Formats: sequence, C-alpha cells, structure tokens
Amino acid sequence: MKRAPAILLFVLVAGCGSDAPAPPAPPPPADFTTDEAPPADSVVFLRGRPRPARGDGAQEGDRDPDGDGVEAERVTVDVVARGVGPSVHGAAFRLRWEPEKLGFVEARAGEAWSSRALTLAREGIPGELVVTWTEKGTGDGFDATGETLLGALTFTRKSRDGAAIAFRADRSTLRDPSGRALTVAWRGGRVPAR
Amino acid sequence: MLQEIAVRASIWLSSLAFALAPPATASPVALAPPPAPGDDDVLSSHLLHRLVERERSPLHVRAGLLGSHVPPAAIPRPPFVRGTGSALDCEHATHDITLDPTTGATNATVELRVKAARAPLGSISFALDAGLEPGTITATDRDASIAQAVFAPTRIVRVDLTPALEAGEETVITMPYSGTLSCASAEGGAVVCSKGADFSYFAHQSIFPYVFDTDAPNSFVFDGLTRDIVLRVPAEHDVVATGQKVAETIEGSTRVSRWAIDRPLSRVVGLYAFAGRLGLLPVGGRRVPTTLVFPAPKKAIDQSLVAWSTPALDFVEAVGGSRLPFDRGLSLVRLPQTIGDPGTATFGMTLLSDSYARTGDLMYEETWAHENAHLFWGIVAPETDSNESRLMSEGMATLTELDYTFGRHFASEDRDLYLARRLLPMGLDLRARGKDLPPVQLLPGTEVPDDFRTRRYTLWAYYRTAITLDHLRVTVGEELFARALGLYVARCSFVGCRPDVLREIASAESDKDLGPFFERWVTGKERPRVLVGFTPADGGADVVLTKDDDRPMTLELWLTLADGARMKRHVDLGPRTTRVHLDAPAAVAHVAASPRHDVLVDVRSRVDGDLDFDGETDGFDVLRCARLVGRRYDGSSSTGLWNLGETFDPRCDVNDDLTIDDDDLAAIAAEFGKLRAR
Ligand SMILES: [Zn+2]
Repeated sequence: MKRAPAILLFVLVAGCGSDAPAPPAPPPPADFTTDEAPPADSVVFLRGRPRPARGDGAQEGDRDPDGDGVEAERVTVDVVARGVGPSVHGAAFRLRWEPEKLGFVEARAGEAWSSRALTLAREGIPGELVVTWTEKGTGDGFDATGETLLGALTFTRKSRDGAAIAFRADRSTLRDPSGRALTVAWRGGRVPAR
Repeated sequence: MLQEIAVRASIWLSSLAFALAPPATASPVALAPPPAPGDDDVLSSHLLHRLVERERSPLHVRAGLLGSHVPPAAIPRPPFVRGTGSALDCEHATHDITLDPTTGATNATVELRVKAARAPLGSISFALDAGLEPGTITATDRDASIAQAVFAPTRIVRVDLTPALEAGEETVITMPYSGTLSCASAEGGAVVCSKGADFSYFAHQSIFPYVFDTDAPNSFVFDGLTRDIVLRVPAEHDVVATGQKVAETIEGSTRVSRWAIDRPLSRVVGLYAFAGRLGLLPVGGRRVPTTLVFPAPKKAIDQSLVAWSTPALDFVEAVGGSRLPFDRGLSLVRLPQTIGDPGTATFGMTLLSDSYARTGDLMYEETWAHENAHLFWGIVAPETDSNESRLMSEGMATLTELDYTFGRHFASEDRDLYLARRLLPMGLDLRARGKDLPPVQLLPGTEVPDDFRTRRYTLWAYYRTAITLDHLRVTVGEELFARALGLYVARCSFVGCRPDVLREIASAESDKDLGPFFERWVTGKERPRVLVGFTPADGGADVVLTKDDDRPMTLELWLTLADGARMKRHVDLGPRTTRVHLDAPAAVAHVAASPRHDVLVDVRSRVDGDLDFDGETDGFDVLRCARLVGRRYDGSSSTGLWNLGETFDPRCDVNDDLTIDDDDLAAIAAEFGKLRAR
C-alpha cells in the first residue's frame, strides 16, 4: 500500500524515458521543499533533487534497496552551503525526522571535500542522523562563498504523509581551519505528502 | 681526614659548583625577540634553576655522587627526608666584613651561635671564597679543631667540636677570615662574586660563609637564624645588602652600613651584598621604602621593573593575606645576566636576572611576580624542610605568577579557562618527562632520582606543586583557599611548616577531611579516572559519577545550560558510584568537571568518544580533534610554564602518546553516533 506511489512513478518515468527522439522534458519536480526562502547571507540548507528519470542515473538497486522486489520511493536531498566564506574545514550537523515516515539510506560527502576528508554518518537513534564531514589536520579548507554542495542525503519514504527533516541547530556547526565556528543559519525542509 | 675527602670529593665538588650556579656564557645579552626557552642554553638554565633554588643550591649534591665519592663515615648519605636530618641549629650570626669591592680585599669575622637540635653535633663546616683564609677559630666552652680543603673557587673549613654539643647545648663559634676574593669561575662559568668599581656582587659563600652540618651537608631543615651584618666599604661605594638597613655612616674614608635579619630564617637562605656606583630607583606607591637596585646606567627595563613592582608586591600581599613584614625597606635587584645568577628572594630582597628580559615583557613581569611572591612563600613562610617539598615555596610562587598575569593581562578572559590553559602544558610536560618523579611531598625513605637536579626538578618543584595547589583551590573553593593561605602565613611566619599544615588549615576551614586529597595528590601522585554521565531531568540533571576506589573526592562540576550559561556545583564523590541531582534553571546540555582538575583527574564522559560531555558522540567531538591530526606535543624542554597558548588537546590523544593522529581520530570515529534515547 505504501509502495503504490513509487510504482506509479516508476512506470511514468520509464514511459517518458523511452521516447528517445523527443525534446528533453522539463525536470520532474523534486520530492522536497526547503523551509522558507533561504536568506541571502550565510546558510546551510537542504535542497531536493529532481526525481531521477529512468536512464537518468537511476539504478535498479536504488529503487529496491531492500532487494525484496518491492520498490521504495527514494528522496535525495543536497546539503548546500552558501555565503559561508572562504575556508570551510569541517561540518557537523544533526537532522531529525519522524522515523515512521522516512528511513535513512545514506549520506555522501560532496566533491568540495578532499580525498583525505573524514566522512561519518549514522542514524544514532531512529529519526536522528549525525553527520560529520571534515578535513584532517591543517589545511585551508574550501571556499563556500558561493553555493557549495557539502554532500547529499538519501532517505526512503515509509508513508504517504508529509515528513519534515529538520536540522538541530544546537548541534550543527561549520568550522574554519582554526576551529572557529562559522556563523550560519540551518534550514531543513519537508518531503510533501502524496 | 678532610684531605682524603678533598681528593675523593673532587668530582663531587665540581658537580657541586655546577649545581651552585648555572653556567653563564660569555656572549653579551642581546635584547632580541624572546627566544624559545628550549633553544637558549642560558635561559633554559635559568628557567630550570631559578628562584629560591639558587640559595639552596650551594651544597646540594646528587645523592649518587655523594655515595660513590665520599667516604660514608665522613659524610653519610644525604638525609633528604630519611631519618631526622641535621642536628645543626644555627641561632644567630654576627658578620663584620671590611671589603674593598674593587680589589676583593676582605677582612672579616663571623660569630655564630649554634645549638645541637635533637641529637649531638660534633662538627660544622663553612664554605667561602677560596681566596679567604681562616684565622684562629674558637668555640666557647670547648675545643675547636680545624681542617680545610680548597676546591676552587670554594674553600671548605671544617670545625670539629670537642666535646661535641649534646642535644640542647649551644656554643658560639668565632671565625676570623681574610684575604683577597678570587671570585673565580666554577666549572661552567658560574661565579658567586664579581669584583669591580661599578657594580660588584658578593653572594653567599663568598664574603658570607655558608654554614652546613659536616655530617649532613644537604640538610635543609629550617633552623631559624637571625643575623647582624656590618659592612665596611670605601666611602665612594654605594652598598646594599640583604636585611633591613639599620644604619649607614661615613667613618673617615669608610662607609659603614649595618643590616639586620631580625626574624628567624633558614641558614641556607641567601645573603647578598652589592657595591659600586649602583643604579637606584624608588618604587612608588608602597608603604615601605622600596628601591630597585641595578647596575648603572639605567636601561629601559629598569623603568619597567619599577612599574611592575608595585602591582606585583600588592598582589603578593593580597595572596599572602597580610603585609610583608619588612618594615624598614625592600630592595629589588636586577642582576646582570653576566653574573649567571638567575635570581632569588631573601630577607627583604628580591633578585632577578635580566636574562629573563629575553622571554618578553609579559613573562619577565610574570617572573618578577614569582620572585617577589617568594618573599612570602619561602622567606616569611618557610618550609620545615625544603628537601621534603616545594609545595608552599615554588608551588605557591608559581601559582601566584599565573594568577598575577591573569589579573594584569587576561582579566577579560574566562579565568577558569585561562588557568586551565596555563596548567595544560605544565601537565603535558609532566606526562612527557615526569611520570616517574616522586610525589609533591617526599615520604621518609623516598629515593630521589639521580637526575633530579635537571629539568625534572622543575617538573617536581614548580609544575606538579602549582598544579596541585590549583586543583586544591578548585576542590575547596576559591574563598576558602584564599582564607587558608592567609591562615597558613599567619601560622608559619618565620616558623617552618610542612605541607600538612595546609591540610590541617584547609580541613578545619572546610569542615572536611582533606586527608584523602593529600594522600592522592601530595604524598601520592594519582590521576584517578572519574566517569561522568547525566540525564537531563526536570529542573536540572541527574548525574552519575563513577571512580574505581572508595576514597572520597570532591569535584567542581560545570553544568552548561542550553543557553550557554555555566553553573558550578561542588560534588562530593563517595565510594565508587555517586548519584546526585543537580538543580538548574534551564535544560542542562553538558555536565563536565572544571578543566582545572584535568591534569590530576582523568575525567571522562561515560559515553566513549563524547569529548564535550553532552552524553553523546557527534560531529562536535570529531571536529574538535580532526583539525589537530598531526599535532605532537614536544615535552622535552619542560618549559610549559612559559607557554601561554598551547593548543594540544589531550582529550584528542586517545592513546596517550602525545601525538594526535589518525589512530586517535579513528578511535573517536568508532564511537560516532552514540545518542541518548529521546
Ligand atoms: Zn620560585
């Protein structure tokens, strides 16, 4: 029952992708709405990715993470920093959601981080994710003055209900190479109801 | 017999001379940017041997050397704190010294009233400049036979009394001596005097004989000696000596000055005379005439020393809880680095080498405060036996210097964090080099390590003591600690006190037995582990504290509230596990111990990897350490006291190898994501 929308989506996307000569379709809507309009100054926010079309990078395994033949609907959100400044050395944040509505699949650090960076993510308790992406040792960090992808998080829907994903600002921080906390606002968002 | 000692003790004495004063180099002082102390031999030496250390060095010999080169029958093993120590009790000395500071020609007499304390006393010895020879030495009511030996630049004169003084008996020994001071350098270039027309310097063991118990040369048990000093120098010389200046007259072409040490001091406390064309600057704002003495001409640093003196002395008195009892005057001396004497404090006199200028103004001022603090801690309030502990001399002087610098230069900072930051590198030095050092207070039978007179002495005498005192201060509370210090000074003024007296006073004032504290950290050297856990609860937090033993302990806990406010609560830990509810006006986010406990208590969260004591392991814990990967603490120079900005974080050094590396980070990462159930 819960999986029905996902199946429908799969069919629609598959049909769309099969018309090779047709002009590119507009990107499908994202399954995510960022809270409020992010302010112009320093912010880290979650931004929904357009729903992947079949043949548009979506893999069969993504649709069926459990391998049980039942496809789940995935929601991937980017963690984006903007206006943070010229040297981000580490990020730590926590997110909360209602665990009966969403399941955590994975977190991937963005390419802004070096290959040496330490990347950790764990759903410490149901519905609370702790993430750290950080460089090790001394180093300048990277520039996040403009819009910068810190990483991406993937969830599965467990319900048709809408589900909020919220940062715990008290346990979220960006640091410069000296360890100084960079002042930044944290904006989560919402997976809309179906 | 003494001759035999002389031959066999040659190595002993060359080592002795080295211990006597740190080596000076021939290179002139350059007022360059402060070097790292570890890179500067002279400075390192001064950092190592400074302060009260100087005047207690003369016959401080390594136990191993004494044992291997001196016949035990002649000079038994140094007592340190084994046995009863020396029977020598010096009561009063009268010095009459005629001196030409330019040539070193000296004609003098010392009259010394000595008593046998507790046990018979058959022999005493004097150490003085080798160029001075004794005349006929007499003792009242008994025979005095003499043997002497010269170990350039020192002459040792041994006086055997027949019959020996029985316990409680006394005699007056009179020793005339004359000649021309050699003021020669000992091995390593150290000197105890420096002749000259402009600025001359005569320390203990040059014109002032240093008195010691032949049978216990290293005994520093407080005896309580008063002195009268008459100095006769050519009238054109200014003169300043240790003691309260009683009178100064010109008699013909001679300047006659009289000085009194009218309160009981240890016989080993330093005596100094300076003569020549002395620079003299008044220090304003003090009730008692206070003068900075320095080699003319005046340097910019002299004005700085004057400016620092009033706040330093005022601060020292505030800590001591009373005024310094030098009512007639106080002499503060800038020693030129060329003399090689790092400085010390003595009766109404503070001395400091200008070599410390190279550490920069802030640390020079701080060291000035340290040295002046010794006017209380070591002079007014001496230790019963400075071989037993330096807790209430070097420990208090070091703690005072940290506090002084906070008040003068860092008062806008969080005081707890400032102190924790200052103690951190001292603690890391102890971890790097001092793990096997004896505890703060040596117990009878304690073997002092052979390499004790090295940097390790600094770790023991300065670092461990100051760290322990601050830990005690946090434990009993600031106000009580301050009150206890005032009571200690009142009780111990010119009477030797042992560390136990501080325990007694603090216990009485706090109505709490501080015996366990002293067992752990004064006569013992524990670093007990305490695990802290908490659950936010209505109106505060339910806290669980666990340690591995049944002995009481008190910790100052810090509750950090959700809005960042900090609340401090003293919690008494009982056997093993202690549960306590602590009230707070808002949600409690962190429960930790004061970081000022950290060097002596291994306080950890019950949750592995939780470095910030919020009961969870998250990115804040990882970020704290990630940027430190690659950091190594180099404790080889043991100069942590001079380090104001150490950023090495021991909590990130999970495997305790003084290096923060991938292994440590991996250990923290392995615990990542441990969260409290909602
Ligand atoms: Zn000292």
